[in-house]
Amino acid sequence: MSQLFTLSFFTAFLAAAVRLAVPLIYAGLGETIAEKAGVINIGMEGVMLDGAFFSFAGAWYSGSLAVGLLCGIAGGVLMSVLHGVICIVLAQDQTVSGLAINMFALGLTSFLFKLMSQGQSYQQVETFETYAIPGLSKIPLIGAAFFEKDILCYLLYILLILFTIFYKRTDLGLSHIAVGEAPHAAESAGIPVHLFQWTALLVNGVLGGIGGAYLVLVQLGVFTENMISGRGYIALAAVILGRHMPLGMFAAALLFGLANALQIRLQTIGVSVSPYLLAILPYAMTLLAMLGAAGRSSRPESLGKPYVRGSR
Amino acid sequence: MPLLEMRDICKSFSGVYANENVSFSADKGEIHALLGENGAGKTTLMNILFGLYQADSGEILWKGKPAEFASPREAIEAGIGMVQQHFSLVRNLTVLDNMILNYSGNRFFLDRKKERQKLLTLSERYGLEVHPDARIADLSVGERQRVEILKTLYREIELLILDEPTGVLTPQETSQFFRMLKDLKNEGYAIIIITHRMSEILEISDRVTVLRDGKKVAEHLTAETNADQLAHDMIGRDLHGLTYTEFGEKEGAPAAGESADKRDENRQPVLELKAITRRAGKHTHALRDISLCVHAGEILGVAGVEGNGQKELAEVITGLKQATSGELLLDGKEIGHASVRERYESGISYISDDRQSDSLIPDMNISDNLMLRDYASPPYADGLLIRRGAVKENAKDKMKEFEVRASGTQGAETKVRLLSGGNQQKLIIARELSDRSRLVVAAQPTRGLDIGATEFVRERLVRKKESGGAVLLISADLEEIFAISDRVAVLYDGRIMDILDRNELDIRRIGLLMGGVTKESV
Ligand SMILES: Nc1ncnc2c1ncn2[C@@H]1O[C@H](COP(=O)(O)OP(=O)(O)OP(=O)(O)O)[C@@H](O)[C@H]1O
Ligand SMILES: [Mg+2]
Repeated sequence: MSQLFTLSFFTAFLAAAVRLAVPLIYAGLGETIAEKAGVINIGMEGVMLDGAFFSFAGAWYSGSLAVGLLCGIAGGVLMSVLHGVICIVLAQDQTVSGLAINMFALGLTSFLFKLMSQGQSYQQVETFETYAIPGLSKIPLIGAAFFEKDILCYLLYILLILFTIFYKRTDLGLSHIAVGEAPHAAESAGIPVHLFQWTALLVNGVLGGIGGAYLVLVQLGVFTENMISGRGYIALAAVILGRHMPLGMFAAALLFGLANALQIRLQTIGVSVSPYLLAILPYAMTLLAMLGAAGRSSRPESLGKPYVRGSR
Repeated sequence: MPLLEMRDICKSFSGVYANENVSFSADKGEIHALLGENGAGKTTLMNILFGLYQADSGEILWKGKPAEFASPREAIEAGIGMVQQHFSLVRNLTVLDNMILNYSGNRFFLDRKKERQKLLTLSERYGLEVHPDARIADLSVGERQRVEILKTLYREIELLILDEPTGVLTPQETSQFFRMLKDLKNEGYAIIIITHRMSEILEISDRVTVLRDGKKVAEHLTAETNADQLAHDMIGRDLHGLTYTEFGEKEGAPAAGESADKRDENRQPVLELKAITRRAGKHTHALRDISLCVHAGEILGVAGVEGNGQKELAEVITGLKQATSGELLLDGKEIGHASVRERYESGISYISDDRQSDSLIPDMNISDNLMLRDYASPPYADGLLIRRGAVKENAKDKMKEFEVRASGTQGAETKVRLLSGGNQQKLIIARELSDRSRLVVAAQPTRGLDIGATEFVRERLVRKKESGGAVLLISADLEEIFAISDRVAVLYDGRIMDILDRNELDIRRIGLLMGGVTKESV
């Protein structure tokens, strides 16, 4: 048990947590942006899955990581555009549409993957390299975990900060918040509600797509069927837990990463608890955290309600 | 060439005209009033102008050039601002953030410090006091109205549309507001104002257009018309036994109570508050040691500037909020801990001033809204099931009795959201003024009602008291308070400054009390 408490253990543990959290944070940021503008995308799982598959396919056929990434983004955007057509243009139920997207993406990617592989298993594609940031990566404990990463992870840090500033300090950010809170009021203030919802959804697709692609292009190098396995849903939970703010969501996603890393560690050490029980840990934590956050809703007031122009 | 011209505007909702061949114009340096009964189509016409609705036919000329405002954004860019009847504020944002929302003077990064200063200057200049950091959701309706007006003035506009802007302003605020409007007019603004108060129209406007059932029936220069003629145009017949009461005038008002000395001293108290106190929340006002009593057969008016505890008082009585300490008795029984439902069942009904969030479920239809309070008891409930027949029957009766008009073809099945503002208000009154209620807590009950409907509601309140009920009438509108109250309590900063008897009523004195000047110094 003593190895639990060495510094190197903690460093490795934290690194694992961050590693597990990055795809969640990408998806969570995308979801935060969509929800701020009043559109809930339960289909994050599908967006990520699409991103993962297309990034793999793109990287495989072109041999280029950049092309892979762009394909992953396109795959994610495809799903969120579909969601937008159903929810914004046709003003249909957002939950149903999101669920449908998850199933559609699962079917689509599995099918295409079968076509592509014809039964044989693929080799890995190349993955993004890591760059240690001089100085920062030498900080004990957190240095290696946060600053010995790949370029996409650094981009994520920047995005988190930018979007925090966006919502707190900018004209456009305030307008986005108003759209999700009170679309009628926003419209009366001259804000083109639907246009803003569309841009939010596009960003949602881009970030969700990167979240899925991250698994393939940074972490695993391969695609497997249904490889997102619930990360999209956990990202949704992280958004709520993070009170619909980018940094809050970041902290919440990190918490899930920690829980997940912890259960993996405990399993490898061989703690005498059933591995199945341990595997529940992150999800149980999600539920507990939601209980803790109950009653302090930060949900945009018009979240999930279709906005129809000219209606009262 | 007028600044604005609307020609032959038609707009129908599910086959029924809300506007039919309406022509309307507005000029720089002019205040043009728009008058009409509830549901006449005033708001619809203005919504078309502001780009919220699209007209079915007709054209709009802006500065002589054909214009079509496909959205408020285009209208705002052209220089039109509108204060809507149902506020268009974002509840979860602060006052300041609502002001600067999509404000064209913003840079990419918001400069809240600068805008805050600008807001404070503006608010001081026009005498409309607001707290920049308060959340809209925590403000009273009156305070929200001030925010709405300021928000419009914040922008660079040439034409200002005001849809019932004075509904919840106090007389002082209103006269200040009118002074401001006159200033704006002299600065060259064109102003369109919708109001149901005849006195206001005569005082402030240069021209009046009257709508009836979606059609324009008259246009007058204000100087060449009078209240009777306008009322006639509006209703389409002479007013029978209907007189709108002007300030201080008593005749024509529904029978006022006798004075205290003549009143039976043994009259039974219906509602008693003993030393009710409630701590101020972060966003709510305090109540301080409030003791008062409303007797059977009495209307007690509560006067005061909005935001001095009126809302909290109403909510403590109706059970939406709890008092921190003190006793609350209904017919001698302590009810301080009873639920809203229990209080309703023992006879407390509530007409809230915030109709859309407190009193109605806008997405439900008329008949369901009418039985919201009683759905669990006969005749509507039959065991676990609801008897639709009884619900429909009730809706039909109430709509007839209270003249609730739903346009379109759906009648009682119309969603409440689609009704005009005044018709929504009538609906609440129809529900809350039932026979079983012992005490009616009425906050701004006639807000947004046309003169006929206003008179009707006041009459009903008087009838309630005459049949032995009690009414607590909370209003910022002194005319209303004076018209029907037997006694008047003045609320200031959560405290009852004084309770005056009807025969001691004196506008100056009440005005001072409302401003927090104590008895002694009066
Ligand atoms: N979006 C809508 N959908 C359906 N019906 C509508 C809609 N907007 C307005 N109406 C109907 O059009 C009619 C005119 O409404 P409008 O709001 O213009 O009346 P108003 O003159 O402003 O009345 P009030 O004095 O009560 O505010 C009403 O019968 C209303 O129910
Ligand atoms: Mg109206």
